[in-house]
Amino acid sequence: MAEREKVFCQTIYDPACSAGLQSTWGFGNQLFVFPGRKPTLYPENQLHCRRLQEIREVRWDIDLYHPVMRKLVNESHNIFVMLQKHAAEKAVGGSIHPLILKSSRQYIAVLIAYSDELKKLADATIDEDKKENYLDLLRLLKMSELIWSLCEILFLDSPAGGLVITQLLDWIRIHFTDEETILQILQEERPDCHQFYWDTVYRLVLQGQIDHARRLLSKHTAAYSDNFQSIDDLLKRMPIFSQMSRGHSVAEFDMKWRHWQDDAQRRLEEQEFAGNKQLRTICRILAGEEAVFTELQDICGTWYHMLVSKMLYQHPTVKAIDLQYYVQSCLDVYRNSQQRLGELDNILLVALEFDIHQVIKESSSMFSNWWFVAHLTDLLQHCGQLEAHKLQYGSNLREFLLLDYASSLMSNKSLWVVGVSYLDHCLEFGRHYLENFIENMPIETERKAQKLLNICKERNMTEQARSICKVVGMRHLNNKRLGAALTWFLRSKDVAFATVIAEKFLLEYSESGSFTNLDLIDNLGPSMLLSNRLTFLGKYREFHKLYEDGDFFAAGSLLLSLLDSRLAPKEFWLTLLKDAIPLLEARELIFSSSDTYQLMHCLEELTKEFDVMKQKDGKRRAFSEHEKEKLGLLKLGLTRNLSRAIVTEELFNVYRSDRPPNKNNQSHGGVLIAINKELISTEVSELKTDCEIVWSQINMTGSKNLLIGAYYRPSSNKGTSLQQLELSLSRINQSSNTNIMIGGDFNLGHIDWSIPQVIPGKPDAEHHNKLLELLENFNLQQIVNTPTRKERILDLILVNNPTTVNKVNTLPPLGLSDHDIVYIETDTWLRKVRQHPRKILKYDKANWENIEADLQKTLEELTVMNNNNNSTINEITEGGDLLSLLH
Amino acid sequence: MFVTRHIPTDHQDLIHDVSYDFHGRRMATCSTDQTVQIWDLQDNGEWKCTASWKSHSGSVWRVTWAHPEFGQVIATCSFDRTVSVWEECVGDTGRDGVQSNWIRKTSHVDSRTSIMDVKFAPKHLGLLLATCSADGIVRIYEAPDVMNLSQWSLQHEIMCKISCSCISWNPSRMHAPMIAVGSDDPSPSAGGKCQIYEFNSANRKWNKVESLSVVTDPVHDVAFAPNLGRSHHLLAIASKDLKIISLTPLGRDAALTTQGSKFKMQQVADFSEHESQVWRLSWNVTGTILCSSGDDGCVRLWKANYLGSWKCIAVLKGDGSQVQQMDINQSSMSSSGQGQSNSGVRGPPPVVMNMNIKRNSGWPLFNTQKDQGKAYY
Repeated sequence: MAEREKVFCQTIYDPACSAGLQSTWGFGNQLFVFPGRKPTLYPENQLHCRRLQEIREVRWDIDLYHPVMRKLVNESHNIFVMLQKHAAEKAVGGSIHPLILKSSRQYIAVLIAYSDELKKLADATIDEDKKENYLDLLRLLKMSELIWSLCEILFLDSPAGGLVITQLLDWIRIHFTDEETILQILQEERPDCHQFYWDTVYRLVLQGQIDHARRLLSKHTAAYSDNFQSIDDLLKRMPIFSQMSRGHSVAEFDMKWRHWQDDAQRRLEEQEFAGNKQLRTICRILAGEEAVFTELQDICGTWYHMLVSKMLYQHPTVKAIDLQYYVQSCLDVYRNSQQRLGELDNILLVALEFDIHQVIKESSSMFSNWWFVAHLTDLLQHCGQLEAHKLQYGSNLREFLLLDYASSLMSNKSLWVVGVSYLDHCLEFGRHYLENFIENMPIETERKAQKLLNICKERNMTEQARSICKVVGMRHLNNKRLGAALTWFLRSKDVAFATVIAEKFLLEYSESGSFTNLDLIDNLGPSMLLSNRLTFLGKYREFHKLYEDGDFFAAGSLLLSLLDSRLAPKEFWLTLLKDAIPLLEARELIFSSSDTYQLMHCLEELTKEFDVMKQKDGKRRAFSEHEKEKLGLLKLGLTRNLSRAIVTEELFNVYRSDRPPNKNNQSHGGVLIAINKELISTEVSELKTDCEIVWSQINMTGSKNLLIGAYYRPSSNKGTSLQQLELSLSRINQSSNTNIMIGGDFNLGHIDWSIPQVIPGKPDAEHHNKLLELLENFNLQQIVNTPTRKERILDLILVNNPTTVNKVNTLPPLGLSDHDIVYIETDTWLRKVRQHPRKILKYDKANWENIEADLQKTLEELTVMNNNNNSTINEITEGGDLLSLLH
Repeated sequence: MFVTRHIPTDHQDLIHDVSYDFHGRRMATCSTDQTVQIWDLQDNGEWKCTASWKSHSGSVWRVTWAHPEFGQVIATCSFDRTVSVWEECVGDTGRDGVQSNWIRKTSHVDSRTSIMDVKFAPKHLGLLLATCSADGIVRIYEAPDVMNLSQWSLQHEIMCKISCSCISWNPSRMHAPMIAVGSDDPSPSAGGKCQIYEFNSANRKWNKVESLSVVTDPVHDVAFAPNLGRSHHLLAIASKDLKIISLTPLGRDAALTTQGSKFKMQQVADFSEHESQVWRLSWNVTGTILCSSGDDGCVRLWKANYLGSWKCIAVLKGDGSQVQQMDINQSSMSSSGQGQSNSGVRGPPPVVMNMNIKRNSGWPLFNTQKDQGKAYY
């Protein structure tokens, strides 16, 4: 058959189009067409056309989107899936032929069911356009069914070389039914007077519906005349070949048939029906006379009806494969009419010629949707009628058509799920198509997104799933729904965006002081590990919860770990440190001394950074007044906490010189040096003189030893104290290689340390001069140059080697004191204490009495120490770079 | 069945480009009137213009969408030698009802001539933007931080040495980044008018890998088809005629033997149906149907059958002369034996028309009534 090019053509009438037409694809079968042409191709003066422009949206192949057709699609999908499942199971062993036949029947049943529904709908609608639409679809379904049934008979059902006449008759009967006419005629008072009485009888005979024909004949008024009886007799005796009657072979049937037809011919020749033209016609049909079929061409209506009728009476034992040889004569009968063969005829013709490929090709160009060809091809493929036709790009015809069908479903907003399932059954390209479609699928709602995600998950399409989550997340982000956005970004495991959102949450918190989306943050779980910022957010929220629950210890350690691990962003440290204030002020001691140091470090680091930033660009970030106030509070809290910690923790060797008890026998002050136990330190008692002074020494390998003294001069003292200090200093072996550092409240505030000279006109110049003299004599230098009490520098630190001192600072006072803390840092390398060999005591041999006595003594000592709260503490941290002195 | 629908735009002048977002729910249009319009598909299926603004100081040639993963972002290129990137910022009231705000995030003015085309890279390459200008330079910009669209860096400048008119990214995820550049240089002696560049990740440079010598006429549009698991890439070229070229990457060994050519090139289709210049191409989502627009005022759809041979499956023809004769309400459904039917639609008003294209109207009604039974053969 010559290949015919069928190109669909449509014209759009619009004056603007005269310039040209351009178009862009939409999603699925959707084009946007707009007038115009490539700008560079315009002559200069034509580039402008001052007119409102229009775009046209063009869609096609949308039959399937009709509500009824959608149901059809869904139902046929079930059949399809079932068949694929069974086919896969049966592929191992056993014939799937019955199964295919069953599926085929189901498809036909579905077609019929929805044809009926459409018919009902069409009858019920008044709207002309809608009615037309329904009828359009109805025709489509009827046509599908007709072709499908024939294909089933020829390709699926017939055993090779088997007889097909019975099935063909059924086929004709179903499609050319006239039950209604029969009923109508039967209800008439005189049926034989009905306009179509004889036409109907002929048709029934032509279709081999002998029983119906006899029934109609018997209603004729002359039914009991001889010729009627004769015809009835003939009809009654007509042999029917049925595959059910296994007893008879084909040859046997053939013989019977010939015998019967001879009888019919005989009666015809004997002019038995000479008086009745109609009965004669019937008998001519029965006798299989060629001419009578041509006469009755209008009753057959179509060539294929005639073909079947002819076969029934001329070659009842025809084989499917031989049918094509009888086609031409039938076609010739209809040839003389004006119209040429339609597309439907062509399809049926090629089907009869057993050219399956041509059937599919013709059908796909005739039907405006892929439903028919896709399903039919699938069936044919399964029963092996299509040789595995390997295509250029590695897929077969079945897959090609299924892909097209699925693609047409994908662009509909309710059918796409079905399309996905079809794509699943396309082994070669299905997945690629699906991936592509999923990425382009519009995500209108969360539910749709969820659905798509499930599809991705079932098929292990991580890339696409991620993309979907990201798109949805992005949309929420743009609409400022941070919580929802975060949920989606978490699902897509997108680090960058999760960080961004976590930052936004934190920003929100630092602005408003509260979190939104608490549920989400509280339930982050392990997903918070996705990004550092997110982890911080989660942990920070946890801190708040702990704090609210009153679990201050846990809250404190969490806070510390956040700072310590550098998980917290720098700009958030201030907030965290502020959060620490209430914990520092809590009744119980929450931060240990080392914790406190860490907090102090953080504070220092932060302040430094701010300073640096300030220098860099003047005003970008500076502490606000409020912040400064908070920082002050924080520093106070830290030092207080530190002192509390030091006292409770006993991490220090304490060297002290207490004042003698006053008259009420209460201890009320003295000097004290506290040195971290990690440093090897000893008290140097030989330097002690008759003033409030205490000395200790830290031994250092590879460096000078450090001699530390704490001194207090009562303000009312008349000079003895300074003399005693001089005495004490003179005892130090000047030649010995030591760093000397002595600090304390000298109560001598009238010295300008920058010169250094006594400020003239102030009282008590004698003692001031004495101190300066002392400094000179012992080669000491005073390094504090900020006021420590009000505007005076009372608390001094004297060193012999000022270059080792890095930093001198004052910190806000501790407790009730009116003196600031003096804080210095020095660079000194210290030897760490080695771990001593552990001594394991045998407690069973212990002298328990002595131990008890000892403990008692220690306890007493401790009590004494705790009472001694008006003391000066000198302490050195384990790093060796922190020396703080406070009064 | 074809259904057409009108979308009246407010553009005062010629529309140069209509571009769809990835999901087919939004549309951007640009025009000689220097404006860009954004359209959203409403739930009732109507297109509604949600934003319209003057974007350039010259005709806006092209508009293109970035992948929605990067947010709602479009890029435009214009006669005024700039490329702009725009992002949508939604107000507190949300998108519904309120016109959305599109904010210019950046503007590149590197070119000294009109910028002819702009395309975002496939999303797996990140947020990349390729532009080509009439002075023959392809520029590739990158936004390293997808959260900050105002920072773009000019990553590469490819000197094509020939005036460029169009550009297309190869969407394949499996292959190294690849772009095709078309040139509308009119002189036939200037060599192949379609060049293919590939990114070499070793020396971080774009190298010319092919110059299609079969195309000597000016090229107006190039388009790579979406790759759906095929082993070859399909490139459609709009020139004097429409060509579809398949590029099959060769293995390392094969590349050595064929003297440097990295691809096996095969012209799978060559159509001159437009009988004049073809200037615009567009693939459908799956890369199975190509639509081309040409100087003959027709839009044609092309599809390959299962044997891989390409055919025209439909033609849309614009006719400006017959307006007066057509009756709006009459959809003429004339059918010939070939199953062709021509139907006319014109507006306004926007009429939805259904056209029966393939079905034969003479379908028998299977009735004994003579007249009806005869109606068909």
